[in-house]
Amino acid sequence: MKESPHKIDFKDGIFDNCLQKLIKDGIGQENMNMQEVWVMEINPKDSSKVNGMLRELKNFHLLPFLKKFQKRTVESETGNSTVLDVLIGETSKLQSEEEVNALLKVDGKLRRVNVPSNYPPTKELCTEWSKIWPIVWKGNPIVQELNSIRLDIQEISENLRKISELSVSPPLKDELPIFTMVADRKGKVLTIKQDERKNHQLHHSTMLAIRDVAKLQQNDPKSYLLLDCVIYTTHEPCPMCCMALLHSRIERLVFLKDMTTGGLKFHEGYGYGIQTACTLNWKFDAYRWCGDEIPVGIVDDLAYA
Amino acid sequence: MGLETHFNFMKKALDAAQIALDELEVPIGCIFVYKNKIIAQGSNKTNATSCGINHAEMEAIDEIIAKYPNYKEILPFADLYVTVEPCIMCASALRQLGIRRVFFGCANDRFGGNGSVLTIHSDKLNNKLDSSIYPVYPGIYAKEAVTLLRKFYLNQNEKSPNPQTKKLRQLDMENFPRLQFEKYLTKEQFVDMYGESQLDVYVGESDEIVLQRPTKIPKI
Ligand SMILES: [Zn+2]
Ligand SMILES: [Zn+2]
Repeated sequence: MKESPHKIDFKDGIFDNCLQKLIKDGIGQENMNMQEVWVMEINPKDSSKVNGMLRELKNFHLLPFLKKFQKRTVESETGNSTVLDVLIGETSKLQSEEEVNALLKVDGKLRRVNVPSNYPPTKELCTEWSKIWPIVWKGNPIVQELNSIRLDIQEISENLRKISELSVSPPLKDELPIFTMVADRKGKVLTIKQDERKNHQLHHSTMLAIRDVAKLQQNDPKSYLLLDCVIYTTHEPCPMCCMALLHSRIERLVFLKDMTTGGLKFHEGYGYGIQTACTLNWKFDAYRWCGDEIPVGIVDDLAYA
Repeated sequence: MGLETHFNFMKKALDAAQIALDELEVPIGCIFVYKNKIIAQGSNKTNATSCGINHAEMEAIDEIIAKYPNYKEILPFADLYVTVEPCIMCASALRQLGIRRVFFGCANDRFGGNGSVLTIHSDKLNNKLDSSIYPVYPGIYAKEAVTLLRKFYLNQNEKSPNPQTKKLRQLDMENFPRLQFEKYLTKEQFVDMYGESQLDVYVGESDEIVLQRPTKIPKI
């Protein structure tokens, strides 16, 4: 894969210091945790025998990313020789050496060793942690995903500034200053809607924008819902609006301000992460602007945007 | 309100779903009931309007808001009867409107917001007191609701250029999914609504909620 043109903070999912992708599972923790395991030193020729025996030991649940065997050179008076260190299992499962020996039926020196107990988030850390015990590096799916994303930061920030301007001095003074813009795959703006809940409590800007696009496209046989569309909105949409966008098959959403009642966040508020809650059917990517401040009109934090 | 009343109202929701089926829409229908009277009916219109959000509930809510300027005083005392569990969108809309109770027929495994995917109706932020939570009562005419959906997908399959195997072309009236009631409501809520005699349905030992429990003939 080509390297990303963006500067990516993989830990927080931030692109070019200004757009944060909301991610359910991070890249994993960078601090290494340790756990104590039994390691047995055996003769390399016994390796297949030991391997077979280990498979039958159901008491142990070895961490899958740790290699089972590690070669080691032992110096002695008669010259150097190679031994094999075998990872047997957690000391928390079998506490005494006698218990382990009774299970293994192989001769070898047992010792207790501390090894990493969490998978390293990056290749660099993998190399580092492998000095303690070798780790199988299988890449990091989150890193790969973030690397594959391309964003037109210029276009995104321009669109956000457009709805920001409206939000700061809204045309409808007696309605909430929440705005939603829909742009199609080519970046053409299809609609911009302000919240209008005074006479209809569910006329949130997102709902109005979705209905407006449906009306615009009614006679266009090529269009299907909001497929491939990008949504720009001033305030994080409520669960109703998030699900409406999912039903409408949007591609991506970018918002400016967090809302307590918002439906996108994974680790705050309700933690619904609706954009990926029904992945069998559809999902979309959601981003929060975290660059230079782009102001929005004031809305009660507990309101549903 | 006896159980019979709820069955009667759900029958009306099924009628609304039948309208959707006749109009070649995904057959989901609903009614809103206020003071024992039906104040609105809705059937799914996503195809006709090319808009993925025009669900039965949304149609009925629009009707209520258009008809009753004081809808905010009405809905907290109104109940919804809908043939299929409301999706996440509708579940949130109902919560924002402060609905009193929701009755639904079958579960919505893909999008359900009343327990199947998310529990929008009962979640509380930081365990704060929140009067907008509402109870949901699934199971009334669940089989009838599923049958309507099956009829729709059967029609779709017949129209498709590559219809699936014969087996899929027959309407299955034998096998129905069992609701896992504990996903939607507590045992106490269940007993309060359906009565102790139907508890075997809640724990999954019996198939469905029925209006009249057959009286067991005592062994001699
Ligand atoms: Zn909303
Ligand atoms: Zn819905």
